[in-house]
Amino acid sequence: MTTDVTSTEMDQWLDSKLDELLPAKLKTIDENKTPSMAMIATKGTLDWAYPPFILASTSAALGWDTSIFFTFYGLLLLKKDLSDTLVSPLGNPAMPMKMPFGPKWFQNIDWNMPNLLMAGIPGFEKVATTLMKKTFKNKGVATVEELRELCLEADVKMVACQMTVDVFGFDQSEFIPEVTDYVGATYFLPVAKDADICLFI
Amino acid sequence: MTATTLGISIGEAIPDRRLSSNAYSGTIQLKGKRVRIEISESASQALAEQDKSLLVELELYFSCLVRKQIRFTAFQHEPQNDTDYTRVMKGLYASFRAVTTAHCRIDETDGKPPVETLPVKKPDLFVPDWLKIDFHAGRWLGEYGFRNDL
Repeated sequence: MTTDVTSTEMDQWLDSKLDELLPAKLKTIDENKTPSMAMIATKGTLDWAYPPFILASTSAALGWDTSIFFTFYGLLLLKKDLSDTLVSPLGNPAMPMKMPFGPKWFQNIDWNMPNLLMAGIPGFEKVATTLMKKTFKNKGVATVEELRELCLEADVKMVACQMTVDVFGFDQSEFIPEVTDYVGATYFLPVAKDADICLFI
Repeated sequence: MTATTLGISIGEAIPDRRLSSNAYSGTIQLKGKRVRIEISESASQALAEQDKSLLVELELYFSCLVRKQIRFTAFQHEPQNDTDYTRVMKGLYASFRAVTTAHCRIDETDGKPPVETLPVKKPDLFVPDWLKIDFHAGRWLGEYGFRNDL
């Protein structure tokens, strides 16, 4: 026995079948997918060193595939020695100036110094860096070195921009050996395209 | 198990001079990872003098910043075959966990934590490389880190 099925009937049957099965199927695919995050790190001062490493270590802790593309001044975060990473108050009026020592009332004072004055005092960057490190240490915040170590332990993929390495005259031997690759934007953009979250820092 | 929180150590730096003479030094396994440990003489004495066991909980706190803290808890009896704890010596146990919270207040973990264990995929992930324990001015102090610079 044969049954003639018209094209319209077939489409209707397909539509209803898809409506019935597809949501559950898509949900299963979504649940089984490992989320991914791609970051572009472009800044190399101490205050800007924290965000990429904090977000990357947290994302990796959650089991997400995480990669960071270091370019321009962000390359400095890949240097073997991070101890000379500084924070600059210059052009950074949002930076609170508080003392991380002394009694509580003293620590609560916001030293509202003019930005121009801070920028003009020789060695102020070192002072600001020391204060920031001390503040973070008092609060138990992991250091940038430790955060990078956590990221490496958690298999965060770190790639560097070869072009910027060349332009700034860096040598690959200056960077940690864990740098996965020295690549260009054409390598990283497809990674960013496929990532669930992409951040530019 | 009756437990009493003795305190939380955040951002304490234990100077080397506290650990130089007669300090205990050794290694333990935390979640399968080898961790170097140093215990000051005063901490060893305090341990010997107390009748309760001491649990040193190393917590790595993930929020807008990643913070390290150590929670000291006293409990009446030694735990029986608890895989969450590692026995360091008689009366002293250590554990590690990565924790998180929905909120992000800096003082949130001070004693009354709404923290929850972060669902870290690999159990040994983020276990530190070293741990220092001290007892000074009636307080338990601890410090841990991730680089081999103990």
